[in-house]
Amino acid sequence: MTETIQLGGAKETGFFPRLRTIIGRRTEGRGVILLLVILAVLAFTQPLVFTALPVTIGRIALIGIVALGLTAVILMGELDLSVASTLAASGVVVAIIPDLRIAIPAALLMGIVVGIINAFFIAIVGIASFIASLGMLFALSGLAFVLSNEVPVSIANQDAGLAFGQPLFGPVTPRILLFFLVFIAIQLFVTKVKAGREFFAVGGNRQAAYDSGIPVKRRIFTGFIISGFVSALAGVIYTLELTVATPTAGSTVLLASFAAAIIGGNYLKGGRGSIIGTLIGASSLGVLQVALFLSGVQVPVQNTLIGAILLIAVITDPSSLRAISARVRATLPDRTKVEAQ
Amino acid sequence: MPSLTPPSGGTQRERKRGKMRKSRLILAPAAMLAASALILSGCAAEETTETTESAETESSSDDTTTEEAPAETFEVYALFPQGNDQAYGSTLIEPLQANGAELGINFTLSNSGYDATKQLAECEIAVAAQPDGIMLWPAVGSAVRPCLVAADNAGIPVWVINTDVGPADAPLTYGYSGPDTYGQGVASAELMCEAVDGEEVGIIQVNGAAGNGTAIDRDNGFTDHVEANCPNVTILAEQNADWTPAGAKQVAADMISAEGIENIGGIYAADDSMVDGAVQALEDLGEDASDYFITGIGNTKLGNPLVKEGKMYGTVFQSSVWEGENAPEYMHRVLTGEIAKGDRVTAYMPSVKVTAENADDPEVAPEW
Amino acid sequence: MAAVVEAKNITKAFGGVKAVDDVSVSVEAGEILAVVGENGAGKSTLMRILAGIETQDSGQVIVSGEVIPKSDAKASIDAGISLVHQELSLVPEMTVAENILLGSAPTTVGITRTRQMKQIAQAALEEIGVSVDLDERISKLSVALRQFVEIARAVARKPKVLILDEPTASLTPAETDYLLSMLQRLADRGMSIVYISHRIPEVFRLCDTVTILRDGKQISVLDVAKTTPQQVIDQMVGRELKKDLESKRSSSPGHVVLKAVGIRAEGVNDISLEVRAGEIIGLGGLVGAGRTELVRAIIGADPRKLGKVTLTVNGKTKVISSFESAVKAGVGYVPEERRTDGLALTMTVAENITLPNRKELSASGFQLARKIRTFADDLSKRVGLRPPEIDREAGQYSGGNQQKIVIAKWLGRRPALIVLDEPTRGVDVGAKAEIHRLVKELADNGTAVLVVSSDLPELLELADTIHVVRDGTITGTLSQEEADEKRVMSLAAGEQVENA
Ligand SMILES: Nc1ncnc2c1ncn2[C@@H]1O[C@H](COP(=O)(O)OP(=O)(O)OP(=O)(O)O)[C@@H](O)[C@H]1O
Ligand SMILES: [Mg+2]
Repeated sequence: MTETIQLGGAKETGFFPRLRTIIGRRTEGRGVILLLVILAVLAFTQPLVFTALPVTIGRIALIGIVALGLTAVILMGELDLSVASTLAASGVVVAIIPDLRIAIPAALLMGIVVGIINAFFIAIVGIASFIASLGMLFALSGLAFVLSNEVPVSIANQDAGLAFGQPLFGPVTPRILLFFLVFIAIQLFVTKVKAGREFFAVGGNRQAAYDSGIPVKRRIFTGFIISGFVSALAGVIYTLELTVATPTAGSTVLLASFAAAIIGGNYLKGGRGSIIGTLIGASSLGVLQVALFLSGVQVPVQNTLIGAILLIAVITDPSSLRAISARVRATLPDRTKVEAQ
Repeated sequence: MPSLTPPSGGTQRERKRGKMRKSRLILAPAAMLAASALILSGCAAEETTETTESAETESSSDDTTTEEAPAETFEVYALFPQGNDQAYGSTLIEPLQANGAELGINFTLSNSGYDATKQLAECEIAVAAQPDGIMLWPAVGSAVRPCLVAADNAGIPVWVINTDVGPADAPLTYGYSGPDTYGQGVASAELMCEAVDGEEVGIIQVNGAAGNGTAIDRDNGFTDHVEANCPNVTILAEQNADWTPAGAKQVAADMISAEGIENIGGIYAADDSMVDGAVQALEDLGEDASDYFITGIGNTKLGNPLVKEGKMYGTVFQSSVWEGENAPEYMHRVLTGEIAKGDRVTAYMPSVKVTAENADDPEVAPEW
Repeated sequence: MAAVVEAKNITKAFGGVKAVDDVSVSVEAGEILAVVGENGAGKSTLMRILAGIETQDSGQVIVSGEVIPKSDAKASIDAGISLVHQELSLVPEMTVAENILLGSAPTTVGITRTRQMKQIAQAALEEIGVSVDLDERISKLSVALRQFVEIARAVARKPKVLILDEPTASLTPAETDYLLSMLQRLADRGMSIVYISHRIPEVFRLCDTVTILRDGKQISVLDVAKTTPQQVIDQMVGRELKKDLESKRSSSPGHVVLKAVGIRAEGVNDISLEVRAGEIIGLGGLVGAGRTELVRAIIGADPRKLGKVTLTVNGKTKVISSFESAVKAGVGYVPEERRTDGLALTMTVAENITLPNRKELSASGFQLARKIRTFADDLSKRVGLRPPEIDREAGQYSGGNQQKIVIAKWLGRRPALIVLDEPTRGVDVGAKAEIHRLVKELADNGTAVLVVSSDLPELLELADTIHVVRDGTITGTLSQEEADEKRVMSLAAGEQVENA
């Protein structure tokens, strides 16, 4: 029998202690609480949110789809600011090519190419992702204007577009279906697939990932390709549903998708978070937006509220807490009194 | 078996647990904030209803003889791309709500910030809420079809304001009230031709935001009229700006330096704010704006003084109050069945020209 | 017997500095090789080259007769070289099992086989005799446990050679003891081990051969059985080490500078203590006993639940409520986690050293460049920074040298109270003696010193009085005369102190 050493607590046994540890390991806590509070209050003030559930879910899908792809990148501690303009540019591509059977693959391919270019600058050239994707943001929104000749472009096959907005079965429109497919695909990828799981390592401790032989650069490529592809898919959905591509499409998407990811407990520096969290974040935001719309609350007020919730989501991040509490104590009126002796 | 049990890790875990507790505590304000947001949203809705009610009670109790109480109240979702965040929107919304209250229409306003997809999403929600009617100010004129189809399927009448929908979409709506954007461009062109008075002149043209329907219509109206009626005016260059003075100043300065100031005799900008920017660009070059033929559209609080100062020859009045007052009237006629489906009514705001002669008249006092 | 792993004529320069200069090492199966040298001697760099993380300028790494490609971490791992890093190299938000199989999780068509992954991880942990919940996240583990998880990861890769870069720096004596016997067991089964440490006794207990590096050059390879610790140290340093002159300090303590009453905080349970001017108070105990938490609560770096702390300087007493007020009142702090808390890694040495002294070094808001340079230059020489180049980024220095920079930062300020948390972790013997001398000198000049150390000889050497902390309370106080290793240890471990 060999020697052993006991260093930490043993594995919890018993149902409730185990449940507690499992919950303690999740990152979505804040998102869940927020969503529950929102739903509870709405049950009294805006029951319409529930009766019009398909519309509410549609809204969540609209906000959430880009956020899902973005989360893949955020998990690695990178940012992709080009998601909204990828959406706009790919949306225009769908509209300017008359045959949808060519247009849709072309738009999706464009998303992949955008991801590859982003990743090239970040992983190979070594530019910070904030800057590289900011450059891409400008380049693509410029491209969207050029391709569309600066005017909204209607798709040739209007009927296909209008049909795309109709439910497939029950209340499920193609948008909602695609949203859930994307959710399941990315969720499985980052939880079950080795390469996806390694995103957490790339974001959590890049040096450790590198030292362990994880192909960090390849992972960064994968992440940005996911983000680009999903944004382009969103662009396709937007254009088909609207039957028109506008070069300014998705102007509110960038902030909303970051907000959904952050509220869902994703840590912007990477390594911590989850796709489910983003889904919850998008749900909170979507439900809130529907409720505020139905009540006719002015947009600036809506934005202020969403901003405040975002801020709270960020500062309730356990790791920011310590820094903030120290900061606050330091700036409070200094209680250093001089007691004469 | 020698087994060591130093308490290492204990405190570390302790500390973490403490932090988690704290984070949960801090969650409380988050939850409270969210709750207050929602309660606020509830209140906001109630408030608007209240104003309607109070307007109702007032009119019914005090002036039962002179003014008739609205027989019925209507719920209408107003899907706008701007609101109190912009001058035009806020000066339109005020008379809209006031007049709506009198007619028994309760407006729930939204602001999509010119995001067509957001407006479509809002339209979906509005349709799901099953109001008596929808008032649509399109974010993008050509991107309204899905919304109109959804409303049509649900049997909810749609009245369009500010930017009319295309001929293909028009049958899905009950009508339009608002500015004649093409006509405004024409009116501004008429002013330009009148000012130039037969001289051979090269001008530069500052259009509104790229892709915007109003910008496109005004551009067409202006260009068509100039081409057809005063060939002595040559449009040397045209560019889009973002409706702001700063944006227009930049664009105007670029065009002036490209074409050469000596070749330029006038400027047309699709909006008075942009005229202001263009005038600044001229003045930065040491030029006197009154030496140039300048016309705009809007007769805004920025534009009207330019006319009085002689810096701008003339502008075309776009009255937010006219639009705000008339929209509920037409909506009411739709809701009461006076305008039936298929009748499609188009009501244009008169494109009143404002020059130095009438700039002081109370009828054209700037509103926004 | 043939060498399992052989590094031939490895050379690596950073800028002008040759970190590793034509070094060759080899280990046989079952051999334990020690690599020793002063801070910055090039030990870590050499190991990182072996592990394929750093690219050598010239030279080859040969495993079982085959040359492995340069700077290919995966290839090195596959060839059988496994490195336990000097700085912890785990992913904080991933589980123990995932970290142990980081980059090498078993898969079927790309999908991780969780059960098999846990089995492998469990086997590796069992091999090193450590038990821990496989699903726990690393961020929730103690420093010692993280160290063992790293070792488990290295072992899980079934290496031919296991390299450990200062694995005992953050372990308690008991844990160290355990680690050493465990390594011995692995070696007995035929694994080759390369062991880096500044603790010479460990080398003599564990290793068969010792390679000595100095300034990147290989000085000698000695058979441990045929040499003495003093010989090794002399070769490392390249000069005669000054024997500690006067262990006893003359001055008697002055007035009470720090007075902490009834401190309660996370991991701290009602502790009171005083430190007088010119006095060195040591806090002994095991890693995780609550000493770091205690000193952080005292100086306001972490929140206190209860308790009052006052600092008396020049007859004026101030209440310490926040870290800012503590620094203002004259407190210097050298934290345990230098990389995260103590250093700005991308700033130069000069900038780091002068950070807390900016006021003194500026005239009406403008910083006096000349003055800053001489000031920083002087301090970096006093702590024995190698090389003493004050314009280099702090992040480019070796682990031990970074520690010296943190110490230098506060030495210059002549604080009323200095709090040192593990001040010589990862510091070489020569520099350690130097730092000890500096701390004593500070005390002799009237500074009150509070030092946390898990290094018993260090504590006994420095402290006038030792408080032993266990489970957040002081379990015993020993004067310098009373204190010896055995007493401190038994108080720390919670055993009864027999009155001999
Ligand atoms: N990334 C780098 N850039 C520049 N110089 C470096 C870098 N990494 C190491 N060095 C330099 O190489 C030399 C050797 O460093 P190394 O970390 O190998 O020392 P070490 O022997 O491990 O020291 P310690 O005992 O302090 O850990 C040092 O002078 C160090 O400053
Ligand atoms: Mg080292």
